[in-house]
Amino acid sequence: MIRYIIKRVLLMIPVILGVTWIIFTIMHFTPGDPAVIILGTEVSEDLLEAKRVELGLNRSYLAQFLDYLKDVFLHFDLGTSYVNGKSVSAEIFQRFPYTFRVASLSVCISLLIGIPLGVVAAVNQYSWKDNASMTVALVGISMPGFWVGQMLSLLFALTLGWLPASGVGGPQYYILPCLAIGLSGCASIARQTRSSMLEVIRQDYIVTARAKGVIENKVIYGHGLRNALIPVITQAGSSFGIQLGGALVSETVFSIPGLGTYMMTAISSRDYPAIQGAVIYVAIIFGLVMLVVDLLYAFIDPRIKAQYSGKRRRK
Amino acid sequence: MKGKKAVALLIAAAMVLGTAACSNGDGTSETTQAASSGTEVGSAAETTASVSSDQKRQVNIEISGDPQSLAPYVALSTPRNRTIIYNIYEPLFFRLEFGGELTSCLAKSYELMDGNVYRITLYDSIKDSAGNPITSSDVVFSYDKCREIGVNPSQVSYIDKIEIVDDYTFDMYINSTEVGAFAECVLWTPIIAEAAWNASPDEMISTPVATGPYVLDEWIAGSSLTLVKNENYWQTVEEGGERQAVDKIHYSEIAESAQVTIALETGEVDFAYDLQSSDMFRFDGSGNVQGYALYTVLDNLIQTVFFNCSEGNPCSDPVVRQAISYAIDADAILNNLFNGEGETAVAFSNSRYSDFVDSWQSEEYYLYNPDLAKEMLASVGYADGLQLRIMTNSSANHKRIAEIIQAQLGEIGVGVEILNYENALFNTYVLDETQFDMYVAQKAAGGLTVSIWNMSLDADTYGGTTRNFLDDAQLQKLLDTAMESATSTPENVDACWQRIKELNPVYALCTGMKKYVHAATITEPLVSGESVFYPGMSTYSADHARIAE
Repeated sequence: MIRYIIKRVLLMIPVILGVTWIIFTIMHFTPGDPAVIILGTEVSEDLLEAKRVELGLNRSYLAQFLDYLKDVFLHFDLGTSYVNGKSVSAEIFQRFPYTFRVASLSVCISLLIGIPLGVVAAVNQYSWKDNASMTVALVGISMPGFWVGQMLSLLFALTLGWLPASGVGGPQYYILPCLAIGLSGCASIARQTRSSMLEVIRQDYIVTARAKGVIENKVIYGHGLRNALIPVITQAGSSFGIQLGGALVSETVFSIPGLGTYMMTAISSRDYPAIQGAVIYVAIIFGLVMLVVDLLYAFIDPRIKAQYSGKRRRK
Repeated sequence: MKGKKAVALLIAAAMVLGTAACSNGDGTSETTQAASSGTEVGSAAETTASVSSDQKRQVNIEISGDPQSLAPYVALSTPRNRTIIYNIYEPLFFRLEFGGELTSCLAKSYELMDGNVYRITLYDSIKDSAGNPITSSDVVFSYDKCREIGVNPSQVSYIDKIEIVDDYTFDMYINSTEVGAFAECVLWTPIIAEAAWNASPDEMISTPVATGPYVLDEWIAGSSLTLVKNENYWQTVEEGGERQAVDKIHYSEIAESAQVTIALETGEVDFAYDLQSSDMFRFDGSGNVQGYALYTVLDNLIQTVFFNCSEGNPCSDPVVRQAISYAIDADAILNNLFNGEGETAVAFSNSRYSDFVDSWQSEEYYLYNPDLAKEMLASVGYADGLQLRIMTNSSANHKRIAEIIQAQLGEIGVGVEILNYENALFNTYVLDETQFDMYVAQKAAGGLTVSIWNMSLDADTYGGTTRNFLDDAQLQKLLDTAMESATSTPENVDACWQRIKELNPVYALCTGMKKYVHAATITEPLVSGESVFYPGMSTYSADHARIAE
């Protein structure tokens, strides 16, 4: 297992290098001049050129890329923002906790609501419970997160006055944004859970468990759900990784100072170091999340864990 | 069947829930006539406690995004940057009225000596929040630093040098006799202590130390920023007037315009810069929200269309430019964009500017005449029409202007393709003559019409042509004459305008009313001509009871 983890971490290095090359190339060839953004358009070309020289933008693509690679991978320096001169690393580390809180809580909400909904739907297939669960899921997937966020604000902040409409602070500030993301996430989790459970509850071992007199709840949740969780965990992990990249819509609607708004502002102002640094960071985080998801498979399914026992992977 | 009924009930419940959430504040889509600046329309906000002299007062302000840096020498292109920076830092002089006289801030007075040299005298009691005294050498340091950083070149480009006379007196050598040059140099550059700058670990990006009435208390980048009263503020009320009327200023960064409305209605903010115009009616007394007023003033931003005058472009022909201008109904744009509130342009200026010439009001300025437009196009070989590209940035207003122009030009056989770019790309392409035939922009200056013209039409800035590639020696000569202090008379300004109107490189459309919503307990908000809200210099009713924690 340790070897597997080390191997996966080492495999991330070429992935990160590839991501770095792609994002650097895209930003290099995207039209838009950072010097114009910083100085404005009502300045002379001489001043603009001087700013480009100061930022190193007048050098060749290869020279800029090699310098950037050296800074990132040898000095672990993601550079400083063109717009405000702040360290990109410091900005990302400052903002990441907010995004992490929103992503974690919203995935928890998705799982806590979605899995029971999916189980109920599967166990009561074709009944009113199944129809109701899947209708909720359909509505959840169909409603855009932006609209859900606004509606929640109108209801809970403006009409009822129970929760703040925007900003960050205590736990109450995270309820609405996490609900907005979590509700749409729980819909897809519910559908996936239902689909997986329907396959599992028809298996022979479920029939055997019932025949042995195991109580129904243990049959469903102890035997059935555990076998059905693999695709659900994959989906939840993927969703978590995407959320960690910044739930831009929710962060914008609820004024959460997370990675999503940071990247959006950086893109608008052609802040190349910030964009590149944030994308590399997200790629690393996503890779680590997927590694954790793969390890969770082993935890949930002993058959997968057994493949990695001993010195060699068993086929 | 039972299942289908259950589904129908569930959907109905969801619709009811959604309707209940949406139903707050039904209003019509028409706005009513705005209240005049500072007039209380609704009743004062209810309070849970009256303010006694030992309780603190706070004001909450909405801004649309994060300032990103609190360093003194940053881009000041947005009101949100200015409204924060100029409550922390102070320049040599204020100009609180649009186009008005200079009033003292850090500088007590100035005197014009011979040879375009200004002798400026500082107050001798200035110190920053860290206790560093401010002397003439710090003024020199501040301007040198501003020049070195290079973000706002217009603040220092007119200054040749600054010579120190004594600790509190210095001579500023201005290298231009253009009208407004001195004001440009002394109004915007924050003055800081050299010792404070050297002691700062990050060039004051997040650790500003300045002379202003407020200091940074907390900054959650991307969410909020709080300033508190500078307890060691150097200026006295008797000498400089009230500048610390509130104890705490809290800026809430709200990017989503609908959330601004919610924040106002829930009382989370007292002053909003960015309320969308369709929601203004809720707060002007005719809507359902009480306790607010509108600060209303004619904007200094002029909505315009710039033509690509480069050789080979269809718009390089002045007859084509004039014809297009005749085909645009600027009144319709004013009605559509600003509900008719504001002014249709009669010049590349508006009545708010101090050098606006009154006779322009009675002159014809390409009044809407599509038939004449068609004739003019036919006279230069475009009887069968032509295809043009109009470029806009991401502003919703500019997109609407482009759509209206597209429809209007379509009526005279001119096909218009709208090219919409996000701001970074737009700002790059406006300098590229191959990317557009026209573009929509808004222009403003700090009080003088000639400054607006200079920014866009001065060939010295853009390498021999105007910003939109017009090369006309006569225009440049008239512009230089109108820009010179000694010759900037109404007659010369008018002469320059007549040449601009004749060549028509830019067609001014209209100016809307600038409206900010504020709590009625802010009885007299002080908003400068450049949209800087000074909460410390505003007046509050006795029951403005937001108690600072």
